[in-house]
Amino acid sequence: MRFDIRPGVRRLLRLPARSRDQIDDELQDELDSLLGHRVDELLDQGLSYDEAVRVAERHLGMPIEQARTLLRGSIDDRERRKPGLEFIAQDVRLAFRLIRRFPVFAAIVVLTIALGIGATTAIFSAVDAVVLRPLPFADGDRIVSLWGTNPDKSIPRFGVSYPDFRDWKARTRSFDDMALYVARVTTMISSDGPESVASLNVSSNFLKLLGIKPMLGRGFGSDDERGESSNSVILSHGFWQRRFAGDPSVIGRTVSVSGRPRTIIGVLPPESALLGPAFVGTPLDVVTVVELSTFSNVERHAQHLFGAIARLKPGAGIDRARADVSAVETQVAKENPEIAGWSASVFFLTEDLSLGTKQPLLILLAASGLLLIIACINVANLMLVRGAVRGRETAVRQALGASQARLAAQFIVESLVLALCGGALGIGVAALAVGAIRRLIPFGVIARADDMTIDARVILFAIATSLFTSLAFGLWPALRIARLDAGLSSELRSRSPGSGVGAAVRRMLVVAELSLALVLVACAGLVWQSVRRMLTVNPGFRPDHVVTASITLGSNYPDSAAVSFYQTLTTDLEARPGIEAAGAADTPPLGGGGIFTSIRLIGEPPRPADQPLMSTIRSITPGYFRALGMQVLKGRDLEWNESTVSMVVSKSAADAFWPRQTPLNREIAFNTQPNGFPVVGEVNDTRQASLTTAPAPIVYMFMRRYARVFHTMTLIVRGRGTVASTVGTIRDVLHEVDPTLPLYNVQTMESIVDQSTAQQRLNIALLGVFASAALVLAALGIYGVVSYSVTQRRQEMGVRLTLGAQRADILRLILGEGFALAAIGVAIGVGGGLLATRLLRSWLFEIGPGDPLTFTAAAASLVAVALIASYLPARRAARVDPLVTIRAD
Amino acid sequence: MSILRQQGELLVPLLKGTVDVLVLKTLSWAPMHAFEIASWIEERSGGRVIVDDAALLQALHRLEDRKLLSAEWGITKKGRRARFYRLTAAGRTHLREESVRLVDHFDALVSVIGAKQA
Repeated sequence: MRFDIRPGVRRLLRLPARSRDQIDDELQDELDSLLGHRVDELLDQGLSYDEAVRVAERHLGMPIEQARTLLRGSIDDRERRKPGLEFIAQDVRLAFRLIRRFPVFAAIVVLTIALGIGATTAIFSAVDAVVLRPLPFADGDRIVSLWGTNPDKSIPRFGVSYPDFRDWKARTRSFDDMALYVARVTTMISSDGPESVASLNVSSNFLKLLGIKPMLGRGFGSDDERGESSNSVILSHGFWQRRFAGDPSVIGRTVSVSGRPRTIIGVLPPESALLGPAFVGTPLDVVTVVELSTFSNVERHAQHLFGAIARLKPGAGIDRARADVSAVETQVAKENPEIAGWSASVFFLTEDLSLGTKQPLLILLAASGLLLIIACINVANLMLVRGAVRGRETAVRQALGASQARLAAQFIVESLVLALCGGALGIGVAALAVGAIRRLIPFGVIARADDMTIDARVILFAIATSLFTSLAFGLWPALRIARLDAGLSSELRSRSPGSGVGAAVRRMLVVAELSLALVLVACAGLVWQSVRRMLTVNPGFRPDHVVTASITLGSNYPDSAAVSFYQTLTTDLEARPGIEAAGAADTPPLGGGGIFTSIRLIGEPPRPADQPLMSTIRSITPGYFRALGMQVLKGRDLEWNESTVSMVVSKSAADAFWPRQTPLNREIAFNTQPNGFPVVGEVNDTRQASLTTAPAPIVYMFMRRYARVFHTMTLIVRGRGTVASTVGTIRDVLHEVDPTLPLYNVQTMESIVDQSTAQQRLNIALLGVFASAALVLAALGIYGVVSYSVTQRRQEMGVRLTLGAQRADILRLILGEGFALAAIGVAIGVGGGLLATRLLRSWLFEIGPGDPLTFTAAAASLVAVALIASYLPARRAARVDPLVTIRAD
Repeated sequence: MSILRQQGELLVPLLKGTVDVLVLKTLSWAPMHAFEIASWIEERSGGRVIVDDAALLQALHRLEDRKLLSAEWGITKKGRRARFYRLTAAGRTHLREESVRLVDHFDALVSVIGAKQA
């Protein structure tokens, strides 16, 4: 690579040929170089250090100082000075030449650095997307979300009821504006037929609050204020591209949404795609104004159906807002006994969106940081070795007066060049990793993680990390080289730097590396076992051969027709030979769905008004338990011809509500209703929120008469054959019952179970990669140190063999040294690891952070790696021919 | 002024400008750095011509200023930093002219001193 500026170009750019100072320094450098060569040759001829220096001075023709002055004085005056940038260019050129001359060394260094920087940068890009990047909403960090808090404070983010929202909007003083939203899956019928769409129902000021302006058409205006008569709909950008092929003439077209004709008035810009993962949980299709009449009991304070967002007034802090809302809601609760004991809370939207993701990401960032440090240690060792090789030259140059700053600067520039090359390659590695991670995360599971890319901020991070890395591994050797210390000149004389200060430092670095590697391996081991145990948890139902799909009934289905629709559908399905059982529920299991509300046990003493009994209520049809392979423990399953609303409780509900008694024939009432409903059966527990959350009490309800809930249900079908045949049968039967209804969101139960562990499996995949990389780097580190030590001690080996040692003894000696390094590293690592794994508590499932088996296995694997890495050099040491080495002295 | 020295004895001083030609001639074989040039001259002359390091450096920079040489920093085969010099086209021309002149000059001297005594 030529960085020279040709003389012609120099003149053209009017750069001075060389500045006076520059020529000065260059001459001094050259004098040093010349003297260095001469001293070196004399040392090779066997002169002692002092003699060599004297002879070299004589060759100079005059004392050194005089030579320096002479050379300085012989420079003609040149024009203006140029700052030392030329020097840096020169050093950069030299660094690249160094790389070309020693390609293996450079390759190892650059690859090692690339590994460390690649890992850290990849994780940082996730942190950037989820935590750091500002929301694509106007002034996003002033947007907050408001939530209700139930009396026993067990759920910090509860939905908001419409009356609550109205009262908060009127009475709170901390907000510029407040808006309402709720996500719904509904049906849209256009010229191409029916289709299910994910819709966001909002108050008309929702988009304005977020600062989202449609890129086509208009937003909701005053005409659309009255939700009841609203006939407009706005499309999301993605939906517009997918469904209408980006055709701008859609504005003004009429489609039917939720059974009512509406005009398309606008299309959202692509930057607003976050609305989907943030508020809906899936990609967003359409936005409509909320129609209160489509919600049952919407005027009751206890119907916590909605979500609410608000914009903080300028100057209002979140704490004040929180106190404000909480006080208002407490007051409202006093005025409305049905929500006695409820309060409310406020969180930044950014915080809500990164909830549950921030901590794992930070843990992964720390792990990747450890890997980077290990990589730096390896590179520092390599640089120290190279520095020792060049130690002679620099010691001579220094003794003859070369400036320490110059020497150190040159070394640092070398480190910088290597680190930046490693960083550039690392960015490539990170880009690959980011692509792989994005493919592994199902959409919307980790909000905003889909935005992971290598953007300017990430690249800046990579560059900063490279600079830090270069300092980490380059500064110490540079300072050592540039210092005149006795250790170096003794190195010159004795010519066997296998012992001495340098070697001890390298050993310490390797021990540090090993202990960090142990921490990573132990953490990975713990998490891996947690995930394994998680995957073997019995969910309480049999997911095999089960297919789920969602159906939304249009407004042409009055409530009674909705119930008989499902009756017909499931009965027809079960009549088919390929179907074993069919049922439906408000949400599939493991979705964390259903309603969480307060109930009353008839016949039990009443509870204080602000401490109601809460339970999850799931609406199901007969056939649900059979389709999932659940067991009826007591009583009976639900049937289609129930005379009233019948309930079935889960085992933990029965145990919690009526301990040591049978739940059968007991009655449960909702706090808003006077009469209770009988319990006809008890089923086994199932996992509800996730595989790792213990089963909570669930009350299953077949609500034949209050069938609003049947409008959107998840069909659950157990088939006998393949998934494809089961799905085909479902579509056939559905078509027979109602050909206008689309089936959507078809998934197997097994994939739903898989998705619930997706994040943990991703965590362990990444942690496993880091731990493996750490092991490889540690092995390389040990190999390097032991190998170099063996090379330097060849004479010693020769002498030992001559004095009667067996080859096996030498082997054991070297292996023993490798083992000793590993043992110390492991001991320190265990200590550090026990501290570090405490931070992992939230990731661990059924295993303690100090699990002895895991730590022992990690320690053993590290020692094994160390022994293997030491074996090759040990063999080399044992193979030394004593005659050759002694003669070479 | 470069001085010929051998084991402490002072021998014949070289004419000014001779060192320049020696350097140019040495570099006509291959680009070299200062130490290599000094060693080359010493070897080729069988130890009879030893150039002072300081004088050599001065000469090199003089020649470089006159654009008879170009130079850049590099790495020797042993991995050490050094400044490598090479002849320019102008340098080659100068070498040709000067060698002819020098040889001619010494020839003239020899023919005077070496004449058999009358």
